[in-house]
Amino acid sequence: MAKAKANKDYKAGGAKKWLIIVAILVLIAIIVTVIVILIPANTSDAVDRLRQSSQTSFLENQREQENYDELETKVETSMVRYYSQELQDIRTLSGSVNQMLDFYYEYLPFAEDNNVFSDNYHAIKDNLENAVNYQQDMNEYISEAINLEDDADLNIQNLWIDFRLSFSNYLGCMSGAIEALNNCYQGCFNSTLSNNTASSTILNTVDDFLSVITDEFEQLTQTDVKGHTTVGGQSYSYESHGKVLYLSAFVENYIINDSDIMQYNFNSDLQSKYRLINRYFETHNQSNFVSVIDSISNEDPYNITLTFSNPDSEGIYDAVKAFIDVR
Amino acid sequence: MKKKFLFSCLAFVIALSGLGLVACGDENSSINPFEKYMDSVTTYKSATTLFKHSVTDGIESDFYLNNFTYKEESGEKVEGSRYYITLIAYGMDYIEDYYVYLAGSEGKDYSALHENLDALNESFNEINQSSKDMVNDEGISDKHNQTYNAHFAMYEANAKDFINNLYETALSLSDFLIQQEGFIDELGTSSTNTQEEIQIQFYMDSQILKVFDDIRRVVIVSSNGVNYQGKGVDVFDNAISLLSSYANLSARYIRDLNNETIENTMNICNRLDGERNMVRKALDNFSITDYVEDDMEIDVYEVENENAWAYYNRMEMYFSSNINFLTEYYNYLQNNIYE
Repeated sequence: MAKAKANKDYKAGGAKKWLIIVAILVLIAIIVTVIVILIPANTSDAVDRLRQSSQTSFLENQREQENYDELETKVETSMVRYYSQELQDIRTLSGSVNQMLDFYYEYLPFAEDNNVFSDNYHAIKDNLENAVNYQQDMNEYISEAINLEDDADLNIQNLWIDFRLSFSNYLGCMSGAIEALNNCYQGCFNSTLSNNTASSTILNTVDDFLSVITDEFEQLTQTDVKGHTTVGGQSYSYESHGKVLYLSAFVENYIINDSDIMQYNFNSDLQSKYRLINRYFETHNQSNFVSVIDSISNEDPYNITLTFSNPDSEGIYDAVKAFIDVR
Repeated sequence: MKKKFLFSCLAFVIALSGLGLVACGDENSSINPFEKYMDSVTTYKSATTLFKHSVTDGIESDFYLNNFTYKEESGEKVEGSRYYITLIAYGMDYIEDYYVYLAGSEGKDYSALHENLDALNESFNEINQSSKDMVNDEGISDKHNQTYNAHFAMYEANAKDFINNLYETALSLSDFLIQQEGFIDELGTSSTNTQEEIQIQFYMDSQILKVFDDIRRVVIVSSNGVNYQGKGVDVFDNAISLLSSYANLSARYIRDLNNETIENTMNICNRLDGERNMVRKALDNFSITDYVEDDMEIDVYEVENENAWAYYNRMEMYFSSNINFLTEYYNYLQNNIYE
């Protein structure tokens, strides 16, 4: 009897042991899965993505430029030549976007892998990856347009409308990525010479420009739509030319020529300049420069038209206008 | 019972191991290396084959590298790369000036100081021997340029190692005095700080030491000691130029500074440290030697070093672009700190 009982105990102990082993293995599998899914932001991963984007963004390579040239010629010699300014501005805008990507690529490999980076990692990576898909669509539309067998104006118009929608989405992704990169710049390079009041003001202003221009392109996709009976552009109202000119000059003046950023900490005049510009937010009850940029006229000489009634004896608003308009 | 006995044995063995590890720990960690520094400096100064008194780039030093020459085909002696001489002179002068402040220090962890000084002494022995070989061979090899130059190559290689150990030693001394001894804790805080003149001098010498170290990382480490001056590597060329400028600056007197200027300068220096951390990462990941082998084509170098463009750009921002941080910093020091 004792022997049988011992055997019974042994079998029960064996099953329990296997259950424990299986439970441990399952627990390990769960932990590994959680770790893999929640793997912390990887700077090198984001840097790789940014490097690729800065090298391959829209109109960076010669083939894309040649195709775009051909499309421009086709549009200019058609009845939808009223799209020409928009085409030229998209070229300019793409150049400015790429210059911003290059700028951030100079910094991201050195970013501190902290909470700010973690918070912005997906916005950087996902937006840049989605932009690639929209860029592919844009190139397909361009290719289709330049290879049209029937160059009827309506066909060109429809393809341009399709292209614009993809470009609008592309610009939205780039704008999102650049904003996230700005957050990283300001939050992952603490206590350095290149992260200062000048750089914050400049980079925030670029974000403001892109935000305004992206919104305008998005509105354009909703107003200039397919299905018009005639090719006449009655619903076409492109109003971003001035803003694109400003942005292009702004990026040239403050990003390509980054003297304000580099010299800020050594130059008391620069410190005074940016102190004054930043007083704009509190004295005019604004949180950014969006309304200033929004007010850029769409007619030559493309002046900033926003006005304020409150007195500005310090010349703050003039300083802001001089800062933003560097054409 | 058996289990309890086994666990007790295991605990005893672990405890013994722990004690053993502690016992085998660095015995130098609690010994002030002041005497060791004094002996080393005295020994180095008496090595007259290796060092002589002279001036290089405005620095008057007892540690001017002697006979640092190679021979051309004609037999004419040509001085080796001047930056070797300047780097050694400044680094050694720094150690000679500031090791004395270790006197009286107690109760700190001195292990890093010992470790670095020991490594420096080892490389001193090597370079000292090389310098003697240069002299010993002089008469015999007067017509044998190849032999002379082979000795010079060894001398230069040992100088490279010596410089690397020298800067590790000098920087660890600087860090120790600042962090462990609180040497500059009162700097810029009070008008009654009677030690301020010494502290300012020490602080600025330490900042220039760091700049020299930045340049060392370009011309000795990233370039593997090879002189690429005039070969089209802007970062290298400008680093050499900056070395000369900062050396001359360091020899000048410091003005009477008010607390506001001191505070502003310390803020700039701290921010420069932030940039320095980035450029060091760039230098750690970018070989100027490999870049030169790729004919200075960044696209080619990028094949083996994906982020080469970002790294080189960072180096340019620090050393050589039209507006670069070390030149801006130099101008600031010249206009605000030095007479």
